[in-house]
Amino acid sequence: MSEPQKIDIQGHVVTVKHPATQEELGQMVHAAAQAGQAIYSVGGATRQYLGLPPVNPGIGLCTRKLDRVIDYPARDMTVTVELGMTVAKLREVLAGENQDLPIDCPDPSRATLGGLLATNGSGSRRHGYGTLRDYLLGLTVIDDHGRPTKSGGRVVKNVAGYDMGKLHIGALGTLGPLVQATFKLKPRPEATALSLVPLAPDQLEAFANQMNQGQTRPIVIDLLSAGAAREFARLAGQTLPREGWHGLVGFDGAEMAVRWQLQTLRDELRSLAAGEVLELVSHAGAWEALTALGGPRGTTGLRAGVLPGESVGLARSLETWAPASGVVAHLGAGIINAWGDPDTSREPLLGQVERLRHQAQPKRLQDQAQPKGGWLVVTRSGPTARDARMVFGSARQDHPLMAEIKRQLDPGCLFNPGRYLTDL
Amino acid sequence: MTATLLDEKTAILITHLTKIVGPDGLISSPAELMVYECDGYTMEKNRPEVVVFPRCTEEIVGVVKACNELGVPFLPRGSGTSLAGGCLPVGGGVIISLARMRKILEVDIRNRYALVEPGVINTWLTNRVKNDGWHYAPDPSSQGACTIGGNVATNSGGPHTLKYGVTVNHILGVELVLPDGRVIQIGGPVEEAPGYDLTGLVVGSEGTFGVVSKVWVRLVRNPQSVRTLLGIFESVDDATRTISEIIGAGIVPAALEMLDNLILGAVEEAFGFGFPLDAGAVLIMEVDGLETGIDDEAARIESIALKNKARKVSRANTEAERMLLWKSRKQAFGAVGRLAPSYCTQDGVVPRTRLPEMLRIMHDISKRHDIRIANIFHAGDGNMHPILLFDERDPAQVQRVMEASHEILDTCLKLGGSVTGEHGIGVEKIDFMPKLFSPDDLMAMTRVRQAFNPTGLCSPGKMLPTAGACSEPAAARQLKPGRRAPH
Ligand SMILES: Cc1cc2nc3c(=O)[nH]c(=O)nc-3n(C[C@H](O)[C@H](O)[C@H](O)COP(=O)(O)OP(=O)(O)OC[C@H]3O[C@@H](n4cnc5c(N)ncnc54)[C@H](O)[C@@H]3O)c2cc1C
Repeated sequence: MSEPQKIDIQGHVVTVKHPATQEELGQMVHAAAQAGQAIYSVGGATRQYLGLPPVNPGIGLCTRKLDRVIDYPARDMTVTVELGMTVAKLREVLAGENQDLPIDCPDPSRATLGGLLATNGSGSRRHGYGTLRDYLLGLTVIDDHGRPTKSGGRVVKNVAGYDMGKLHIGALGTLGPLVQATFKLKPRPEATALSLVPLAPDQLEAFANQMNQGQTRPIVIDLLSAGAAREFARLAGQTLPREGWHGLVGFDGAEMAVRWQLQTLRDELRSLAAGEVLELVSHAGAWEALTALGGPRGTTGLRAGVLPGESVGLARSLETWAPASGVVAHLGAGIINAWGDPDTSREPLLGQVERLRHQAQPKRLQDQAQPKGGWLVVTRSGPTARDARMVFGSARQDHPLMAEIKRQLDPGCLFNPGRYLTDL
Repeated sequence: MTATLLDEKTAILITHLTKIVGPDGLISSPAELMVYECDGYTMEKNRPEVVVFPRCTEEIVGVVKACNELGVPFLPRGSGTSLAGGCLPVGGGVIISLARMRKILEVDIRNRYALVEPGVINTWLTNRVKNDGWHYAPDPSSQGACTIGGNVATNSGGPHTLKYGVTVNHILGVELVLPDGRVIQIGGPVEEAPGYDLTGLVVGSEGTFGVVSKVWVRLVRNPQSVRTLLGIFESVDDATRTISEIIGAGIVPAALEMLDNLILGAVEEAFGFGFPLDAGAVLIMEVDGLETGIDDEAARIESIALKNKARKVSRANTEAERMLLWKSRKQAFGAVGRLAPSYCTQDGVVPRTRLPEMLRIMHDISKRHDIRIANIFHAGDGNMHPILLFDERDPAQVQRVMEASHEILDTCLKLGGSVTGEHGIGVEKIDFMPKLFSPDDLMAMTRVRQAFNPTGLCSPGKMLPTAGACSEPAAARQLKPGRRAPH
């Protein structure tokens, strides 16, 4: 496959270089730093729509050729790899040992592990498995002089030095290109099941509460709006018995335990379900469909975080926010993804977003001087131009400290300038 | 600096601090300060000028600002159970004890979190929510004494972190008094607010980024069922091979702890659990989860143990038996006093498959240096706590303990591991940092510290070999093991 020579990052076209080794990537960073050029890190380019457009002229550095397995001591349940490796390739390597890095990624055959880390990708299984911060054991990053700097290590437990890896997860590459990492792994489960539960609109809260106290221990507790449920069914090749909101509950583990949980869930939800429950047992396609729901859809995408107990309320607001909308709420974490085709001729996107953002503040915290609560980020904005206020909202208390960290680690503002929060 | 000048400065400091915390909120007499010369790591000591006991965030801010004005170093302290000298006041100054900030401010089961003050003792939180069927997962063996603030600073682990993760996996946010006195909230009860994961960075920063004044922790539902097995082995080798095989088989036990013959004797004398005194080692193996299928999992573990020549595998039949077994494990350190007048606990980590090899090397190190080493540790993580037994009064023994410790930790590195799995670098392992990390790695960490702690007044001489004031390396060298630091 020939590598693209140019890439369009939110309307800014940059020339892309493809270093073949970590050393070469380091040399390119060094050269760019000398020349005063900015560096835009590129992985599989599946999520360059996140954050803000580049502000300074510069080059793209693509990590895709860095895709070696450095060390895979399977019986230690860890793996060390280069981060230009695609998520699908890692999955394949790990499947050989019946292991997995259980982080959902919507476009695994293109997305790289570096990109997954930089965007802190996660999906439905986060309820049972956590997120990348729970799996990253060690990380190597190229610094602003082009030198590799590592933190953490290759063992599952280690507190030597600052946990710099955490800083880079979700930093959108603003603190340097990520080139190598060690991950903790999980055994693949013997069996899986997804249960799709139709819900009447007035039963959503009851469903959420029940899932918080029921006897089962799901790895997925999602709420899907009608649009999202339809999309899920389409991707999974299923027909929905009924339109409308659905609860989606996932289990995995020993076969006996999964079966017991399906039965128990059916019993517990008997009075709640608005119709026939669709059970998809060890159905790989259904899991792929669920993961794919996290990919870009509609003209505009939003992602929000609230207290778990507030997620049903916000999910409802997001459902009616725009035509052709879809909403997937991860009820355990209070993380909600939504898409749609909003009409911006009547009200600009910023106004719509700010109204929703206000709702993302938990009711009981809304009137406190320092809102501790929710947030809402515009992941994709269609034709609307993006700026920090629209995409991220107003600055929080800890932003000056983040800016200071950025100044310390990247004083020349080489790495992805302008692409994250103001000042980062 | 002459003694009188020093005293004058201390007098000004005390006046300042008294205004903030009141006369009953601080101590400064040498007799009272003695307790604060060291923490659970007793090989180095130094006396602070003052210990203050703030009651709220505002008082911490006042103390921190006063220290900045006078150019006096300061450091936070929880219960002082650190085993790495995290609370050693290198260069003297002010210790900010969080012992009076012990309120559980909020418990929100629906939203799966609690908000606590930093001085809350780890077990108090679980005790508070257990009747609702929830708990706070990180369970260091010192959990009856150590504080959540200290756990955050050291990123503590415990027996059950094998399955449930260490402290950082359970911290949602903190309120932090920065080293210049600013107060900021990082993270909070809502997950993943946009921006860098500063919470993840602050956890494990060993008090060098400021004073944690509030903590939002995640609460976890209790498992439906638990099975606790005790495997009895003729040799350490059989026990460690069992551990490697359980992990290699893709089983994720809730806990997997090993006790060797030496420690068994002491523990048995203290708690009378009924451990066989002639066993080479025992393994405490716990699985938890749904009742359905749990006995199958326990049976798989049992058969792996038997295949590896376990003499016997028994189950804790009652909750009381299980509690006694865990008490014997968690309070084992308290029993070590029965073995020798002094001991030094190490905290090395190796990849789990290298455990048998590591334990064999350790046996050899023990023989060569003529230092008895007891082993009790979180085996499933590959995290070992060899306890080196000695008599502090014999300088030759102290020297041999140091040498043996270093050899153990060097071996961990050689096998691809780390010098600390949960106790931290503190002052104790600072010399190992250049072995673990390149100068460029350390520079990146130093730059991050600069962002939080540019003057280096907060916890100087910890974690990074070159950080903070430039006189520190020399100061640290003066504090060699076994000697009291010049005051
Ligand atoms: C018998 C025994 C068993 C142990 N078992 C374990 C174990 O199983 N797992 C484990 O991980 N550790 C264990 N430890 C080590 C120790 O208990 C932990 O490191 C614990 O987290 C320290 O808590 P503390 O409140 O005593 O903190 P301290 O010892 O008082 O302080 C430790 C460090 O944290 C900093 N600190 C304390 N409070 C704050 C704050 N509010 N803000 C910022 N920094 C702060 C201090 O400056 C210091 O650097 C054990 C220790 C003993 C004595």
